[in-house]
Amino acid sequence: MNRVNPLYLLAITVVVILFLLFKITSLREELRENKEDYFAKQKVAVALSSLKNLSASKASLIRYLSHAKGFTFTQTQKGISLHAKALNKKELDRIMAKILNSAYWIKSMKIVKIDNQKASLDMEIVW
Amino acid sequence: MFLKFKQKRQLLLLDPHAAPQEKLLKSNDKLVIILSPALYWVKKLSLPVKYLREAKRLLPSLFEESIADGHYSYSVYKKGDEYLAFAYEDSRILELLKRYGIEPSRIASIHFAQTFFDGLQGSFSCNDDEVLSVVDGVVILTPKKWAKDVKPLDLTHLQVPKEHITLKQFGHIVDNKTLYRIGSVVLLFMLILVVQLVSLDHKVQEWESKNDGVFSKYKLEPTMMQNRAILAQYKKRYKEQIALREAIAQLLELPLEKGVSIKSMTYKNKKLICVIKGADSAYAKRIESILHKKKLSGLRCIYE
Repeated sequence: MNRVNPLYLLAITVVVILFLLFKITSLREELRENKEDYFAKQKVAVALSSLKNLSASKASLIRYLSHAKGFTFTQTQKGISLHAKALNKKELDRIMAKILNSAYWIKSMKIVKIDNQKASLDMEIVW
Repeated sequence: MFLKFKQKRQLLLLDPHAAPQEKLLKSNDKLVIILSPALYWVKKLSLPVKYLREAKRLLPSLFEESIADGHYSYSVYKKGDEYLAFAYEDSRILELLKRYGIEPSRIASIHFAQTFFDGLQGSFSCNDDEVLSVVDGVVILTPKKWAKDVKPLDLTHLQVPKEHITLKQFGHIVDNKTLYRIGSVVLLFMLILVVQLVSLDHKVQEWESKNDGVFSKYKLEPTMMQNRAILAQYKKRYKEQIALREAIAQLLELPLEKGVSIKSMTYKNKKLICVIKGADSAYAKRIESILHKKKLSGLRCIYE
């Protein structure tokens, strides 16, 4: 008559159920944290990626400057320096429109009016 | 390999009117309990069924009319072409065992007197008033005074039959059907929990791999601290550049009077300095108020 006491079975069942419930609760918490972590990371990643992609193409600016007249420019690893001794109004407008309407990081800039038709330009852009 | 220590076994006839021997109760031997006919009901039957399990199902209805109300358990075994059916109350037997101080752990097996003594010839003493005798192949108790030659019952050389019963210690609280139902519900609940656990574990792993995937997908730096710092730097630069473009746009939109012109525009260390030539103090004040309304930061105008 060595039968297992049903109370022991009940106790074991309750312990197993409690253990399962505890595991489920902790896994739910872990899942919630993982989700939050993922969305936080993705938010940063998307913002970073969009801001990185916002930087206008280097190649496009260099190509433009190579064909434009009246400029000298020096390229470094960090960016580009533009210099124009005497630019006419039209050229100045074109280059300023090109740079200001695109997402180039202007580090420094100096435009000095020479006369009513011409101006000098010094500009440093970083990538 | 399991080691089983063979313990000596003693036979004991359990009868409500005859207390077992003291030395038997005090020994550590395992006990083979023989239930006296006073503790069960027995019927010899011819049933039109082939298997024992089919016969077992019929037992409650077969005994229904002939026994007193109570929580009965049933047992049946085949003897030749006939079935021997038993009905007994677990709680009554357990109570008696308890009364005699027999621990359930000491019990090796429980048998009906029927399975031990069906071949008895004559009458054998069971208690002070009753004797065991066999009538038509069924072991019964008869009053002692009816018996002519009463012999003492010797249990020492009896062979233990294979037919035995197991008492339901809690059967009187919850019947088997309810117990199985509760058990099924609990098992189902546990199964649901296990399925949920496995599914959650799978989801956690899925999101973990998704988390790791963000770094490679967006080509991020190895730690989020670095990435947050870079993002903050980018945002700051972005704000500065937007502010510069807004300031230039506002300067170019200024209503310049005749003789007034912008001489130079210098942007350095995040500050834009604009030199305006030909503006008198009143005009300069007007320009300043326009720029002040626009709330442009980092812009300074110098008037010559």
